[in-house]
Amino acid sequence: MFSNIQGFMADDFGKATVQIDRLKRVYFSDPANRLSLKKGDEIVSQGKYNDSLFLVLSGHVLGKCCIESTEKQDPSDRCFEMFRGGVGTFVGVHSFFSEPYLSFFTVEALDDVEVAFLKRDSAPIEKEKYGSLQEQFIPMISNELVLRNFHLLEKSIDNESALNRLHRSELNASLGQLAAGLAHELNNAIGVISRKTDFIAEALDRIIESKITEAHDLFHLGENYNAMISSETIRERTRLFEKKKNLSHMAAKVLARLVETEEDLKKLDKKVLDDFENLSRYWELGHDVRDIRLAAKHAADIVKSVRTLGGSNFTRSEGLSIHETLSRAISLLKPNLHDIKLEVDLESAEKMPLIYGDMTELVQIWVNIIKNSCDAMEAAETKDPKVTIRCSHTKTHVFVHITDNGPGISDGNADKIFQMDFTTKKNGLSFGLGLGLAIVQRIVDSYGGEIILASRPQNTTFNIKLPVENHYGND
Amino acid sequence: METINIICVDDQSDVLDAVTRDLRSLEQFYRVEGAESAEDCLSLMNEMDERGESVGLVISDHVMPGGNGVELLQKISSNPIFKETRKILLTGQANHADTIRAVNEAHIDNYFEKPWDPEDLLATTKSLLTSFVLDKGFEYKDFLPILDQVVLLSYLKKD
Amino acid sequence: MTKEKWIKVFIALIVAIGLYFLPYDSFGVAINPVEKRVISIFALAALLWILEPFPIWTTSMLVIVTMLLTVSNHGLLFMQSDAAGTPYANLISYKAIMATFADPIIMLFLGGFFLAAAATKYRLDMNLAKVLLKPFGNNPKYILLGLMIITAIFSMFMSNTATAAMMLAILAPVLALFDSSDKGRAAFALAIPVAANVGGMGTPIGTPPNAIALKALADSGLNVSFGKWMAFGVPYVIILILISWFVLIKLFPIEKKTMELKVGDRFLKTPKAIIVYITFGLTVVLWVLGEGVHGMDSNTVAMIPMAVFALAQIITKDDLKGMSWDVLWLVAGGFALGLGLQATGLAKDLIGAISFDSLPVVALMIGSGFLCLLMANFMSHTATASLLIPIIAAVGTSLGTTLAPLGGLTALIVSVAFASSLGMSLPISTPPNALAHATGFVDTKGMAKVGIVIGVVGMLLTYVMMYLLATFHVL
Repeated sequence: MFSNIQGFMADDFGKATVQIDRLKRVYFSDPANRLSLKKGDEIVSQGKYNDSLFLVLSGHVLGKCCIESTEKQDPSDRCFEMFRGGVGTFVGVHSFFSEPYLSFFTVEALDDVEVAFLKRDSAPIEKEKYGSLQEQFIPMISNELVLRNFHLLEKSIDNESALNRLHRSELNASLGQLAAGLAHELNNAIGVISRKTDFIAEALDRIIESKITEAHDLFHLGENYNAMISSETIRERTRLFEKKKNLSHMAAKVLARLVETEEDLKKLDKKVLDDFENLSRYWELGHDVRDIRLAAKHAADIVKSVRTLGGSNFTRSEGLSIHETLSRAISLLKPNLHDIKLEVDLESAEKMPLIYGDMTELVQIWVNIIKNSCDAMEAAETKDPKVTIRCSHTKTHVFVHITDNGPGISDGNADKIFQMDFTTKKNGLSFGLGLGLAIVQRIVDSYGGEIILASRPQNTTFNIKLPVENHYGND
Repeated sequence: METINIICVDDQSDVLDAVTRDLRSLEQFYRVEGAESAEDCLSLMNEMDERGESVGLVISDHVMPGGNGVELLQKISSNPIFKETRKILLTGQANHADTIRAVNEAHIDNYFEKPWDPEDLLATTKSLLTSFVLDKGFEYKDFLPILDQVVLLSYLKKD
Repeated sequence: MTKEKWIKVFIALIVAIGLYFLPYDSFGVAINPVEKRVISIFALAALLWILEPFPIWTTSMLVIVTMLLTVSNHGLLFMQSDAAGTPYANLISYKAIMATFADPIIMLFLGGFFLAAAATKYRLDMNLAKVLLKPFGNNPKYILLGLMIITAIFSMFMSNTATAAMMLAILAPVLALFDSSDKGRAAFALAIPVAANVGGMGTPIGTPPNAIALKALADSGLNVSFGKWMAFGVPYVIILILISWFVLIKLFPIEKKTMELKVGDRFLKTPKAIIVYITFGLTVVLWVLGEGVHGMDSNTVAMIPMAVFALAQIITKDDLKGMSWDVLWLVAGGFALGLGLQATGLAKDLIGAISFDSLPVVALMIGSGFLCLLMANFMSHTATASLLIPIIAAVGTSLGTTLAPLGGLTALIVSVAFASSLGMSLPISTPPNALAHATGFVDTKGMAKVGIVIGVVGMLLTYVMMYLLATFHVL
């Protein structure tokens, strides 16, 4: 909580002045004027007459003020805490000094309490030097006043942050609901797209197989195309094939993607090559099918990652391979990696024990962390950007260390990055919502795991620690 | 006949493929090339220039790693060699401030939101290239079947 | 594409060089190397104009420069004298070759360009079109006639291409409203190039072939003034436009019942606009009145608007840059070819060798006309005129008085010039044809039908007119 009010330490108020010490000494040291109270006993009662000033010698007290309810549904009174006190706290200050000597609060003992008391009709001591009883007690009164105000301030700050917390959790809950609803609708649409794509692809496959036999292979090659060739290389080869094979720009472009070397070219059926000008579009047709499938899958993945927010139903089970989750995550990320080098210590990953968990959730963790690293490096235009993944394990836990050579996370941001709405990205799309690392935190927490962040420029490591066995039961 | 290139820039290969395919009907007259990044596009443009070809139009994606589309188009418009090159921004997220910047600083000729209407894109491409051909003083008769009538006639009126 | 281009250039060069090494003695004509070179240059120009590996105006420039280097008195040293060191007597003055670009007729054209540019800039063309169209009402048939008349009138003073572009720009949005089955669309789309080509024949500045004809006539000592040309040109245009209109509405009946054209707005009334109106009108009046009335020949008159528009800043530096200097170069190249044939004595030597006296004059006149018409359908009108007119002029001169009953040399040359303007049966025949074809409202077949009919009818009309003029001793 907080402990500072500008210029004062809270304790300063308790350590009262010499005057208050004198008052306690001269007026409250008579052992005859002492009372012992049990827990729950009231020292003074709200609205009741009081003629004594009490000083707590041991134990704790609570002052509260009750207000008559104006609501018909709930006629019981509502009581508010006004102050709490312990040794050195004065009780009955208001009713002792001010007419009509009625107590403003009820003060009750929170445990066994011993108090010393002073009756109102007691004679002032050293009246010539210190004045009347009231005059002598003014420092105490003002001190007590400040202490109680201070207590109220503390309470109201507490209240406010509690309200904030509440507000945020409501927001998160509604975002989660929204995400879940959206995810449902989108999943339906994506489902239709993928299924219908499959139907079309099958139909095309049959038609091509029966009608244009020589194009059948090309269609399949397009459908399963997975090579990563830079557009520069493609352009070079296109120009080459345009000239050498006397193809149109468009057909040459297809051929350039299809074959990597002259050798590959020879492997192609002569018949296919001779009529490539016409047949090339069947490759493109297959490639279109592939693109639609990939796009649908991409969309489904995004939906899944958003749905994690809404807290949804993943099935965790024994025997999950960390290695497999990592390779899935990498294949998901590959299209977005561009210039970033990704190094995975496969050997260490393969040695990892099988753990209890859910594939999708773990993939989520890796994807989000790696994506975050990549984005940070891209934004900072890091030279030779690189992400390294290493694994290690103990008997009870597995560790995955994801390191990048990006700009690092400033100390100020280190606490915030896992918050739901924190993002340093202005232009992000899918994960720029400030959700990525929040998802990670959530999942890791739910496994009873831990994220340890070590960051300095050129070397930022997310260490993710996950238990091998189920520690938390099924969710 | 002059070789006029159209360059489409997009980091996502499937989107790039789709844009270039939409412009395929122009292949008889213009070359349609794809570039994966801003850098790739710029080096490609220099290459074309060295070969004595011209770059008639650049259609760039907006958000790309290694250089945003607006910056790319801005670079192109500030290069005197490509002063006449027409520019289209293809954006997945039309952000007001960015769009204004694109118009003011990169002098883009048009902008399309994703997903785009292929016919619209084709028509705009045709009309931008028509004015490119005429501004460059190329022999318009070579490109006649693919030129935008309205633009062409309004240019020739002043002949 | 470039390969094809080089093959064309290669063919042209081979033929030109081959001709130079052919023994001409076999023709029974004694010609010296300078004349041989002119023949080669002529063949080179002809082939380059026909095959068009590069824009036709560049061929003109090549003709001028090659002539300067090989047949001028300040060309390459070894070209100037024979093996014995005796200078050739028939070298052409280099000043005369260069002067082809500053020929008075070029100035006449430039004056025409100034008028056209000013009229377009101050929207005189569009506004006049509006006024002139009004009497033709809403019936598409008559609007078609109105459009043809207006196009023809504008084309007499503006370039055929600019006129056609302007009128098609007005028409295109209206034609889009026609039913796609309505043949009338083709009638309208064809009417514009037809009227633009025909209208060009009406004045000396209407189209470049007229300039070539004027130059050939001037070189033969026959000065045809602006007014005189219009005296036969304008009635000819009116009759041919009416015939064309009739042909169009017969071949492509218009189904649409009414239509409305939105053309132009208010006449500008700024001082500059008024200067344009007055200058334009005054220049035309001075042209029509002719030398006999005010002493200035039409070429001189053409310089007046240049000075006025330049001083009034109606034509600015940019407007000056935007003028069709290529057309002027093209014409100058034609002049240079003519100069080469005449000044080296080649024309006389060749013509002298062939006995034209035995040929029936009528056959010569009709034959040359139809040859010109045929060529003009496949190549540039100006290039056709540049190639044929100097030769025809030489032949005509050698025939002397035998031509008189048919209208003399003037009738021969003008009929060839007219023939070159009547080539309009293909999209490639003229830029206006290409523009009309590009609108997509007319197919090549339709264009060919109309082009051939109007070409043949136009030629016959020319001969009838020339015969009548000769009979009544007008020529």
